[in-house]
Amino acid sequence: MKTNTITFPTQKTIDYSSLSLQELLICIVQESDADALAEFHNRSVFKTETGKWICFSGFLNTLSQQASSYDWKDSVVEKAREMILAKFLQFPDANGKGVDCRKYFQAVLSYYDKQPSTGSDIENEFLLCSLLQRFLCRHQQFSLREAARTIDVSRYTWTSETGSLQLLIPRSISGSERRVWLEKHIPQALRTNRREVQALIDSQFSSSSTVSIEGNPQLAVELTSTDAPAGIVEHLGRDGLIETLVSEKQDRIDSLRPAVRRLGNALGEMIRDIIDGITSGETNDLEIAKKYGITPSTFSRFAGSNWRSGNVKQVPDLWKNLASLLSTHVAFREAAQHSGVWPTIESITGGKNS
Amino acid sequence: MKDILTPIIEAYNNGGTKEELEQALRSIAENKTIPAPQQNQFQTLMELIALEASRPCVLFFEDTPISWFDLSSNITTFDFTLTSEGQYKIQLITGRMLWKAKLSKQDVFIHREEESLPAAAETDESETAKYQLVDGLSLNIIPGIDRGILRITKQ
Repeated sequence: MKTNTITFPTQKTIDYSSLSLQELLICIVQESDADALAEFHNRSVFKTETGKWICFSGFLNTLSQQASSYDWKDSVVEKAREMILAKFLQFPDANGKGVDCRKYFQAVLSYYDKQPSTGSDIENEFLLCSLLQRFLCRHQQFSLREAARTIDVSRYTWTSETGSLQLLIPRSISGSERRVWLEKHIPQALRTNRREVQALIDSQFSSSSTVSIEGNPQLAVELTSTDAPAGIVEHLGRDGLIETLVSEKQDRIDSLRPAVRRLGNALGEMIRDIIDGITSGETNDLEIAKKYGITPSTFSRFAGSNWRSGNVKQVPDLWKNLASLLSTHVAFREAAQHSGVWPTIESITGGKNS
Repeated sequence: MKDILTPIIEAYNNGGTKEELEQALRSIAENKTIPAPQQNQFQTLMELIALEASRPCVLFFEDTPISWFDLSSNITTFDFTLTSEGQYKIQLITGRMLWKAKLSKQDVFIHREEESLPAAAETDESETAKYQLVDGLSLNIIPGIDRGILRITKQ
């Protein structure tokens, strides 16, 4: 929708604070501009669940805290945090080696360029913010799996009749079991090829999506149609509200609470049951929780009908998600404004949460 | 949630046009039989949506935030009182600067020795400093006797 070529002065006379986010990212990607990168990290382009706008490092801390509360080991969360920081902070060294933040920013810019124009400079700014946030959230899930894979393995020298191989084996397999496992699962023909043997081990013990992304970040962590307002609106028009909500939740299942994440493909079915129960007037939180094997408290946090905990408002995840989805639809926003139900925002420091 | 969700889901099933959605939202707002807890949930849902869709901008004086406004609201003119000369700027909440200027005494205040001092709102438009920002936003500095006005107008 937008040109990706902007001419910047050759001398350092740029007032970075007045650049749009897109211009800043182009400076980083095309000019390897460290000042533009510093300006990016000073900006509050990420939005928390409570509506507070914060900078990259603050948002990454929020994501890390959430991951810890979602049963990820602290060592894995910390490792993932370090990996993400490098991806969004580092330029390669003089020899072109090392993590290259330009690849990651370029991946977001490329997706942004494919979006239909909003026709507004300010809307474009917020669109790019939301795409960056979705990209970072997806990278965190990816990095957590990567970190878990690298932290939970140790080196092992496998000596067989064909020679010795240095391999990375999950710590869950003890020393004596390793040889047994390898001899049982690794075909004779492969035993001289360390790379293929390692790939077989990885495929047995790791998530299928744990692949190295240094070569091609776009392929490893992709934004999808549920990450962009235009995609959501298209879903709404084609599939209706419920199926759009299902697609969006299913598409982001990795970032949900562990008990809900474990539902896998049944998550969509549960959401349909929840909404059917509500619209038919036969809703029963406990019955649905029992049917899907989740505890009443987990169900309550995910889609409960009670939105208060004591005197504090606590909107369950699914309804927050519904609000987020509807907010991207211009027709809904205009309808809300015209029908007089659009409230006035009273605070920009965290919304109205109590 | 039944009385809230059903009309909205049906509106989307019927095409999800602005008209369909407006009718659905009106039917919820005007339905006096909805129990209070559900009315509160509807209000909360709308607040969350408005918060998600908000486009806040912040007014700074000498690098200190002094006020803010939401470009996504229905309001088309935002007025802010200026009590001092100095450095003012407006930023999107994300940190992108939309406008910055050092305003002098003459920019903010009308000279006290002048006779028949006009109220700020009655100041001749030609006496005001005008700036064009992005997306057709305009910014006027209207000097006054004791205080000036910084006015943002949406197109």
